[in-house]
Amino acid sequence: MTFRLAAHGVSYRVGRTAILHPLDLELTPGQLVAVVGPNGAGKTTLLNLLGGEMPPSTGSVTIDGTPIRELAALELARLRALLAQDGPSDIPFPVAAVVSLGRTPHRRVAGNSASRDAAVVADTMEEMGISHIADRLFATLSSGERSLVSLARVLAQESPILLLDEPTGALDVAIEERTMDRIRSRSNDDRIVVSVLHDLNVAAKYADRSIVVSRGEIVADGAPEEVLTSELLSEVYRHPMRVVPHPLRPGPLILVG
Amino acid sequence: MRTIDDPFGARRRRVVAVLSVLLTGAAVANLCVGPVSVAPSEVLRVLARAIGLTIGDEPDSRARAVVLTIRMPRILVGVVAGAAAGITGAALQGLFRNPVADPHLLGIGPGASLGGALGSLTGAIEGAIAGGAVGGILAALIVRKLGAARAAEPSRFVLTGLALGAAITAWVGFVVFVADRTRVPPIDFWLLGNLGASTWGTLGTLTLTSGIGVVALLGSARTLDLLSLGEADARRLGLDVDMATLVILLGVGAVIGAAVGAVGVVVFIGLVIPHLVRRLAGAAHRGVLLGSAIGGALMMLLADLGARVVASPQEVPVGLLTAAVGGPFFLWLIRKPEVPQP
Repeated sequence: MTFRLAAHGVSYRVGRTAILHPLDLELTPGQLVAVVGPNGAGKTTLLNLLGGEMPPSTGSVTIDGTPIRELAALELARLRALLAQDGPSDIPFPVAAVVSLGRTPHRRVAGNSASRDAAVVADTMEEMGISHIADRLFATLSSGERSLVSLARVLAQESPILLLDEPTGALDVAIEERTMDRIRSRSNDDRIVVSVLHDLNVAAKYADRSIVVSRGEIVADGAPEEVLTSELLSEVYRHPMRVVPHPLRPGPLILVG
Repeated sequence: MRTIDDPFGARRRRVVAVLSVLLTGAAVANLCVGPVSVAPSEVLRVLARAIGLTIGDEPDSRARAVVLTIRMPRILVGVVAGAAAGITGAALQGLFRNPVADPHLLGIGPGASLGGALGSLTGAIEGAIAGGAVGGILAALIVRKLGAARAAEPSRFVLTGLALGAAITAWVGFVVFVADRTRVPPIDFWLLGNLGASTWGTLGTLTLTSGIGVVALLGSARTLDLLSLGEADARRLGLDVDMATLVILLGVGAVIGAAVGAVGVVVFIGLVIPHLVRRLAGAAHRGVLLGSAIGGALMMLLADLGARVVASPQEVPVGLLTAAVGGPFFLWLIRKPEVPQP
């Protein structure tokens, strides 16, 4: 049986307001799963529930059959990494030190060592193209650089489950493409990778599976070319959209009318 | 990749070395200066004989008594109490990610004062120090409750602590004015501190009571580094944030509480020193905690030297000196953004 992350009847409400209606979901390694949908649809809530950030109002999330709430913080940290959108911008440490904090769950674990931690940190910074700013203070970076460093920290955690909330939001087009390539390579690497993406075309290009969330419900779930249709997107976003074959490569191109 | 695990290592070692040298110098100055002036060479002879070495002539017996019975315990109590103030300020600033967190501003010092005043009703310094530690711990637990919403509003958090502290300090006043004056130190001791009553007994009790807490705080450097990422990311990386917060607050309460029981509240050390150390040694907590302990001890000794000489032969409360110098210095410090370069 393959490793899996699953939600069973999971819902979330604040007071009497339903943020997420009961849903079932099963995620397996080897796919990049994009969560898309309009603002306020519940994408971040879904991601946070999958990551065990808070207990769901109903239902449960399981990692390989074990309810996530039964895992100690450190056990969970070795299984899943989560990149949130909001973090402090004033961390007073050099970039390399911030990334190396991502290795914390592996400290004093058999088979790990300080030199291995250092190697992972160096490789991850290289992979994310931030080696040249390794000695700069995090607090002095631009928002795009900060988001690359935070992503590198999360990747350095080397967890089998990777949950990312808009990892490329602050990046320019070229760096966004390169970063999505790296994230995608993690999913090929036998990890479960789920990413909230606000850019539908990025989701269309990189995702193996797209989950469309609207008003607290999953309204579509499948391959991007099947799920991201003119009708569905126009309805979900309440804005005219048109999906056409991409002129430069296979796959859909989403046009906003 | 030398920098990965210990990015500020070289700076930390330099700062610790320089502060240690300055602390030694301040201790020697405190041994020499006072109503009875003792020459450095005489101090050296007294100290040498105390550890069984014979250097030069037999020292003057009055100099021997002044150095070993009066000044030495006072200096060492000052070192421990100053280190307590520095390290607890550094730990609270890291824990709450709040640059103006300080045990006295947050009400932990006042709680320790109340405990210390009640404990001194026993008439024994052990009672005052133990009472201070208990009072500090209880106040720290109240701060933990108040700090539940700390991420939201740092300034509101400090204001809450100030109000808590003012209310508790009023109770210290009641205890002091109602109690037997021969047993309970006067109100200015609890508000401004005084090292004048320090004996070897004070030192022993203070060291025993605060020792575990100091070790716990020095050992929490990595936890505090992780908390620099924010509570949420620290938790995502496996930190039991509630447990870590509890351990650090218990350590802070016991350490500053014991110090307050021994020497009263000496303000501003916990605010000024960690800021200065972060600028010099970088923000990694291994250096900030250790440097703040040594720097706090140094500031305490310099202030006590001042307290003994500014109105000689009268002594003024040591907290007058730390506030008079530390207050303006702190204002100057916080005017500039704190961006240390590695």
